[in-house]
Parts: sequence; C-alpha cells; structure tokens
Amino acid sequence: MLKKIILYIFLICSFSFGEEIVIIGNKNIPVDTLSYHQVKMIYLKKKLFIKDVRVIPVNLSPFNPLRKLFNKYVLKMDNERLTLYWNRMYFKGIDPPVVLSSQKAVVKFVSKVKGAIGYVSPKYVNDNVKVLLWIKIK
Amino acid sequence: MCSRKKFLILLISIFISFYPSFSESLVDYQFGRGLKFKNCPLRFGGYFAVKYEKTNKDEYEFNVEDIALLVYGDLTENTRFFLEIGAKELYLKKKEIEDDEDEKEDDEDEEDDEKETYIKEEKEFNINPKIERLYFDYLFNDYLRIRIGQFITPIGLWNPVHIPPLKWTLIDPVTATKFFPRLTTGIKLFGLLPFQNETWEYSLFVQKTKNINENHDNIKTDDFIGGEVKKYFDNLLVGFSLGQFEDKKIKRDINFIGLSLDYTYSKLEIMSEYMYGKEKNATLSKDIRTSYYLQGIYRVFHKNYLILRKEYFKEVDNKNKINAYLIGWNYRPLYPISIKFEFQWKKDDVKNESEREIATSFSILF
Repeated sequence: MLKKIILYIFLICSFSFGEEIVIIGNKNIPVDTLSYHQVKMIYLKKKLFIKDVRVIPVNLSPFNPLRKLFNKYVLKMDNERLTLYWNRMYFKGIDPPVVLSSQKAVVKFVSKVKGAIGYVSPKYVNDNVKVLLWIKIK
Repeated sequence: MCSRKKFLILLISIFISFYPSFSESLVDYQFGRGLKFKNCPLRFGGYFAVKYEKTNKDEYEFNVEDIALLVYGDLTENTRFFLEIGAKELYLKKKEIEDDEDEKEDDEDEEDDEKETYIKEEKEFNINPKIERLYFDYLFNDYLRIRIGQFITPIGLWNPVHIPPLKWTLIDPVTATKFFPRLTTGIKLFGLLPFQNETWEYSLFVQKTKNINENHDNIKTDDFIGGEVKKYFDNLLVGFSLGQFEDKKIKRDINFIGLSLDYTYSKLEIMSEYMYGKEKNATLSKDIRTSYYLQGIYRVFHKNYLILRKEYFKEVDNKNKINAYLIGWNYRPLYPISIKFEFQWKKDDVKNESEREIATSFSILF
C-alpha cells in the first residue's frame, strides 16, 4: 500500500514538473548561456564556433528517450526528418554529431573535451561541466 | 584511358575496404555515411543512380546516370577538404523525336504540316570520370568562412542538393536548372550573420575563370557573381538570391533574382522557388524568363512520401509558356536508398503542345 502511495506521489510530481533537458558544455566554453536557436544550429552543424572555440556537439543514441525529447523540442524534427537532413549534409561533407551510449558518458566527454557540448537529465549534471541552457518541457 | 584506370583502381580499393576481413577498429563503415579509417581525417563515400523515362511521344531514356565518389574531412580545426569525382551517363540508351527546326527557319514559306521529324536512337557507354567538386574551406569563425575551388552554386533549395538520392523527384523543376550555372569555380564567403540571434545565413561568391570541369555544368560561364541570404524562422526558411553571369554559349550577360521558401510542419513540407532572369541592358521584354514551382511533400507512411508539384516557366524570346504538374512517390526502404516513381503532365500554351512523361529511378548513397 505504502509503495503504491509513493508511486502515485512520484507520478503526480513527474506530471507537474514535466521533463527537463540540460544543455551542458565544457568549462572552456566562453559564454554562460545559449539560446534554443543556437543549440539547434550547433546540433545541425550550422553553427561551428562559440566565439573562437570550435564546438563539438555530442548526441545520445537514436533510441534514447532523452534524444527523442531533444529532437522534438529543440531540433523540432523527428528521427526520420533528421536522418534525411544528415543525408543532405553528408553530400555537403558534414558529419552528424558524435553519438555516445549513455548520459554518464556524455557528462564525462563534455567535462574532458575542449568545446564539447551535450544534453542530459538534471540528475547527471555535476560541477565538472557548465550549464548553458535549462529546458523545462511542460 | 589513364584516368579511367585510376578511377577503377580507386573504386576497387573502396570496395575491398568494405570486406569484413578488415579489423573493425581500423575501419568504420556506415551505410549511407561512407567509410572512415582510424587516424585518417578523411571520409570516403559516394552515390549511384539509374533512371528510366518515357514520354507519350514514344521517346524514352534508360540511363545509368551517375556514379560518384566523395572524399572529405576536417584537416584541422579550421580547414576542410572536399572532393567529388563523378562519371555521368555510364550507359545511355535513348530514343528522341526531333522536329527539323533549321529547315523550317530556312524556308519560311513552308507550311507547318510539312515539317519533317527525325527519330534519333542512341546507345553509348561512357566511363569518363570528372571532378564535380573540389574545394578547401577555411573557417575563421561562424561569421566568416571562405571556400576556394569548384563548388555547387549556393542558390535556392533544389540546386544545393541536386543529386538523385537526395532530390524528392527525378524530374528537376526548370526553376532550378535554367537560370544560373549549377557549379561555380572561384571563391565563396559564407556564414551566419551576427544579429537577430544568428538566424540569418549568407553566401557571396565570385568566379573569374572557367570551371575545373565544365562538362557537367548546365550553363557554361567563366564570369559569375552572386549571393544569397536566408532567414530561419521556427518552421520556415526564406531565401533571397541574385546574381549575374556571362552565358558563354550565347555570349550574353544574364541577371537573375530568386526567392525560395521551405515550410515544414509535422509530416508535411512545402517548398517553393521563384526565379526571374533577364539579359543585362535589355530594353525589350522579349529577353525575360520567369519561373516558379510549388511543391508539397507529405509523409504518407514511414519512409514513403507523396509529392505534388505545380510548375510554371515562361520564356518570351523562345516563345515558351509551360505549365507542368507532377505527382510522384518517393520510397526509402532504407534511408540512403531512394526509389522514385513519377508522372508529369506538361503543356506549352504558346506552342499549344502537351507532353506526358513517366519516370522511375533507383539511387543510393554508399
């Protein structure tokens, strides 16, 4: 019974707070915030620099639920449209972002690689990375 | 002959590289994204296309139209290299029916119903690879990037991705093929514009020499200048372009302006381009040509797209006023593969002629 109550409370909290995506960057990135549009342009490889630092966006695997949310709310494309976009970019000589297997790996990569940018759930954020944008999905 | 051998050796090398005996750690191959060797900054890939077209006038064309090799990569943090070598029309078999226009012009008194038509049948093999694109980029920052070499003319929506595996339809709209040279050899400055949250993009280019490879261009020129700005909205992209070039064939300077729109919403995409071309210093309206297309693409099922297009082209000088309607289906069993079926109905209101055409193609990125 107690377990059920806890589960209901958890579900209610989940609905009221919604999902969150945190855009994190390596500490050498010379800005404190990025806009939605800038994040989108970085992940579509149209924006390559932040000031004079070359940015390296990292992605999660296509089946990761957080990536699906990121595609929907930040890139505003589903997986099929995005794949066709990268087909076109391949013809222009531009590769999609590096894919890492887990959010832990994203945090580790971003903390170590100059110019790296990633997205994770809030619980993975730590002091070794810089928070550039906090997205709350209602 | 030497270039043919080199091309074949290069192709064989690529295919050998796919052989599974290669260690996975040394070679990374992704279907449709090319091949990458460990510790090599370059990626190797390419595409292939074959098509068949037939008209109601009993003309047809079977064409192994394209095989191309792409080599590209970031050489340093600020420099990029790109090479595309392609062979076009490797095997072509076609039948054309032509009116004898010269004879008609020579003898003005001749009645229209006496004009002669000729049936021309061709079959040819052609392995003659040429450089399609070859350039280096230097990236100063997001606002200033420089490209030097031969590149695709950065105008409109269709031209920048005009190869068969990427196009929505096999038949190109005239708007994207008759108004400016598809390729440019020269310098291009491009990047984002540093205002309005970087929602503007620009390209400026200039050509003052002949193309590295003129054979694959639709219009030959050695004097071309132009540019385009694009503005990104949430689901909408708007582009405005203009330029001027000397058409070497007719030895005249042509000015053009263009407008493009791309709107996406859920499974729907609407694309449109408008072009207006005019001979420089022309005082008469007879040297004007204008064209637009409006195309809707709807994802009916997963990997299946329905395409509807209306196209208009008017050329005063050559007495053309064409309306064309196209319905097409683009099936992608796998994302790098495109199988197309389409039907186009075209009517010339000035000549009072109409033509119906069916076309199908298979193309693949590898």
